[in-house]
Amino acid sequence: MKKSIFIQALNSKKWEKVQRNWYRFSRNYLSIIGLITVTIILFLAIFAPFITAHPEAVGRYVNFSEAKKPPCLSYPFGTDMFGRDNLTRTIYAFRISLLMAFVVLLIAVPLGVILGLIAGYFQGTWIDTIIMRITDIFLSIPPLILALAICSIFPRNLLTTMLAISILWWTWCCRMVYGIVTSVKGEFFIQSAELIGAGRLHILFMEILPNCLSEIITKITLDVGAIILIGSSLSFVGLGAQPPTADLGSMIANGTKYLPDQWWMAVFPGIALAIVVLGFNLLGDGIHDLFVVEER
Amino acid sequence: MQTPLINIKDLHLEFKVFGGTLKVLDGVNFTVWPKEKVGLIGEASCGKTTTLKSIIKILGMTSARITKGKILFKGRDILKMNKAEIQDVRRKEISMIFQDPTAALNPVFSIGSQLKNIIKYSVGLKENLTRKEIETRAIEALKRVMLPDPERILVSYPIQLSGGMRQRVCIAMALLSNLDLLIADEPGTSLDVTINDQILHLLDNLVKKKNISVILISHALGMIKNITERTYIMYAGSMVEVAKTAEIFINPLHPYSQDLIAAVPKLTGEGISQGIPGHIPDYLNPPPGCRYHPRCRYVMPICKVKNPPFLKINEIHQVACWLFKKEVNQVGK
Amino acid sequence: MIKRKSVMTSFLSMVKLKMKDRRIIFIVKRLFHSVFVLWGLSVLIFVMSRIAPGDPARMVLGTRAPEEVVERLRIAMHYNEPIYTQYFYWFKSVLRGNFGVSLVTQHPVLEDISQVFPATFELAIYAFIFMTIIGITLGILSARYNNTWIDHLGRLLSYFGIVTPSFVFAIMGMLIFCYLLNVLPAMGRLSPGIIYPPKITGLITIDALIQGNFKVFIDALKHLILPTVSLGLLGMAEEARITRASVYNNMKKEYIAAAESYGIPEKVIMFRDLLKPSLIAVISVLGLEFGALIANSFLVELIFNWPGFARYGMNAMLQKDLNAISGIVLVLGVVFVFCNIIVDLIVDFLDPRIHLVKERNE
Repeated sequence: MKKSIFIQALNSKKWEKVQRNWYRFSRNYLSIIGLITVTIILFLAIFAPFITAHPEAVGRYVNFSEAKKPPCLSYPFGTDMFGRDNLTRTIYAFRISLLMAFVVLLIAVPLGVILGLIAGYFQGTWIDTIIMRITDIFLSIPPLILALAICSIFPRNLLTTMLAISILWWTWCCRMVYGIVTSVKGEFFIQSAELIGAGRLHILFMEILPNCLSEIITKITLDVGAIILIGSSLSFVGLGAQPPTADLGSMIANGTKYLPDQWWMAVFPGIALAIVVLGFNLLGDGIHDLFVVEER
Repeated sequence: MQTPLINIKDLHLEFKVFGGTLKVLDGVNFTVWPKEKVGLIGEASCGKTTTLKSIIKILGMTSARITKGKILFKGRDILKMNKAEIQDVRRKEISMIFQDPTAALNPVFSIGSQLKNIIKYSVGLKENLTRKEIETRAIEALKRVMLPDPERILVSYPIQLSGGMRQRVCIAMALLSNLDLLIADEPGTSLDVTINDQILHLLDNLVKKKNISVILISHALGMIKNITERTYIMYAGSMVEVAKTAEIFINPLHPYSQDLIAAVPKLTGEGISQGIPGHIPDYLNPPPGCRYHPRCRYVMPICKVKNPPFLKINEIHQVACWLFKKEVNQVGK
Repeated sequence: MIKRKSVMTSFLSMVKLKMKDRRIIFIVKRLFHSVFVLWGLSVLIFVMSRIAPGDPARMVLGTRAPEEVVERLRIAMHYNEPIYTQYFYWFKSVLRGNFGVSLVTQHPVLEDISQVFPATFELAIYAFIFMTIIGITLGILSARYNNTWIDHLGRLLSYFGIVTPSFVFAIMGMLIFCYLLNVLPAMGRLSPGIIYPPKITGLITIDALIQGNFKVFIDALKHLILPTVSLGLLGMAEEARITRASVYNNMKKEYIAAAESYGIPEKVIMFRDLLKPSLIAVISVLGLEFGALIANSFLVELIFNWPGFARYGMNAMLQKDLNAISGIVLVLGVVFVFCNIIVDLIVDFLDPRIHLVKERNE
């Protein structure tokens, strides 16, 4: 009698592995907090139009009679100087931040990983030299500064910011993957694969890449937080998403002008930003701990 | 009656880990007399190293907890000593040679720097030695273990030395003071056989010269036979048998000892033994009563309930097995 | 290149310094590498500034200038020539220290930079000392008393430090300490009405101390507190984490148990045998931490109106002052390259395995 594929999958070893990893993950309360936080944030971001009370707050809306109201029942985060609801704007700002992180990682990670694999595999040849020298140039200065420079010179909008960060970000992935590949390259299983006659592509993607996967996944999770931070720093000085789009950094910047009386305009987005980064950091740490094999 | 040098009475020790507690030591009884050489045999992870480490209390930074028992050194309870007294003991009276010489040497300090550190802060603490004197002592220590070119070794780092040289350096470090007891935890196990032999001879000479007590842990039964006078056999956290070395090899009484000695391949080629069926107990949930009972050929109902104490067969030979209760009663009375 | 290296090695082999000459070769190799990186950076910046939309000549002269004048300036700035020629002229002047004139201040960029540099330098030094000393100490304490309340508190605080962006912390700090509690000043390096001490080092606190002028010293310190903590918080939290993990791992190692068994006192073990291997992990990231510190100062200086290098750079970027931007980026490049070499040297000094392993493989 053939069991249904679903039941077979549930009973298979892979599912056991998933269950075991989940058990290990869930023992650390910090990782669970991270997971819950990230889930909530994702939920809020995706379903923002359906759950926010004042969707007009994101557009060119002005209502001076409601402006600068402190936090109350109808406006839990208060309103800003144009009368827009801060809570709605904060939730929509999550969308922008997550979008930015998603796009940047979508571009930077495949690019960086592939280049890192190639450079590491052909270590010592001109391919390696060129790729790593270019990486070194981009890595010589902290990413925020180069991103600031690039974003300031070119037209100031969200797209520029995303592209600017992507151009910098692939180098970090590349450097990390290069390190892993060069350390794994000398191991015997690579040599035996070559002896059997495996082609270069096969070795790169089927032998070496799985060794990097754990680090790549951890890095991606932690990077979301880092990219959101850089993005907010850029929009804080006016270089990212332009008004009236809601972005955490620009909201904080606008709020600072109204300190200390209308403190809610800067404080709530600030706390929201910290919570987003915290969530992804905790999640990333939890994932990292999963991949660490405990020594006795 | 002489006071024994080391007298461990009913020691219970556990480790706290993620899934619960590992009850590693389950009532260890262990005695060493002055100027005696004692061997300790047992399978991997049966608690030998832990027992010895607890003698000088260097389990401090791990999650070990001693729940019951006493460790008496020259009559004083080590577990009740304060930091200063224990440090005195470690400096002047007991020394330990570790199993893996590579792990026992700090990789970022040179050998000389580590040796001089020991001389300065430990052995020669109250003596106010000058730098020249410290250096001389360090070189002497290296010469004592037959290391060539001691000056060059003093400035080298552990990674630059071979395995055998590292083991000799560890022995040199252990023998810096005039000790009463040397604990050797599987010296030479991580090296290949020829070096192993040299180390064994070296240890033998040094021990005979100084005439100190030795506790020797080894898997190499030949080493035990050559050096020790009395041998303990340990299983799963407690001692199961102790006898004169010669006697224990000829006439092992405990079922585990019998299987163990039988498992040694003999030069006369009587065939390779089957090994011992079963596996070592899970320390998280150890079997009740005698910990060997799941694998024992002669298991009796009482074995599953009560842990057998050490029963005397003669003056030196003792066995922890209920099989010998009747004999003891017959002999004793 | 090759000639220089072999001359050096032969000279050194005459002097017979085995270990040290490897280090010197290492430094030389790194210097060459750094020169290349800086050159690459200059190309990058140059290309970016030329791709940027907008007409540089017109930006200098303004919209009202007549076309012929703008055309003459274009020719003088070599704008109609192929890009590599432009780069050549630009690079030549950069090597002489001439970054051009800032659009904003109308002064030579290098002069501007040297004026604003000391302010940032002072802030960076204080932030760096704060972050390193307190971070490492917290890490060691956390590891030593691991799983007690000290450890949990420390780890919580370091999470807080890592996720709070420095500009958010700066704003909160200003809100609480300047407006609510009114204990700390909000802007600038000195309160209005207080005269700057005569410039010896450029660091107000040091200059004031040399003068014996305690009033100015205290005032400058008060102004330094919030910016320093805002900048240093991230690095401090990271270092505390790394130190804790490193010490915690090394604590369980066999050589620590061995050191204990020889009777070495616990304090000596902690501060000698345990500290040295653990510091390696921390110091390796010090270069990156310092980079993040400088990057964050671009925002923090803006918030606190700190008259430093980063605020100057930030203003330059916001106003599209291309000359100043290029100058800032290149100067920073030099600073970081220098820092990275020093960090690598220190790590190499602490952990001899790095160059010893290379020795075995060569």
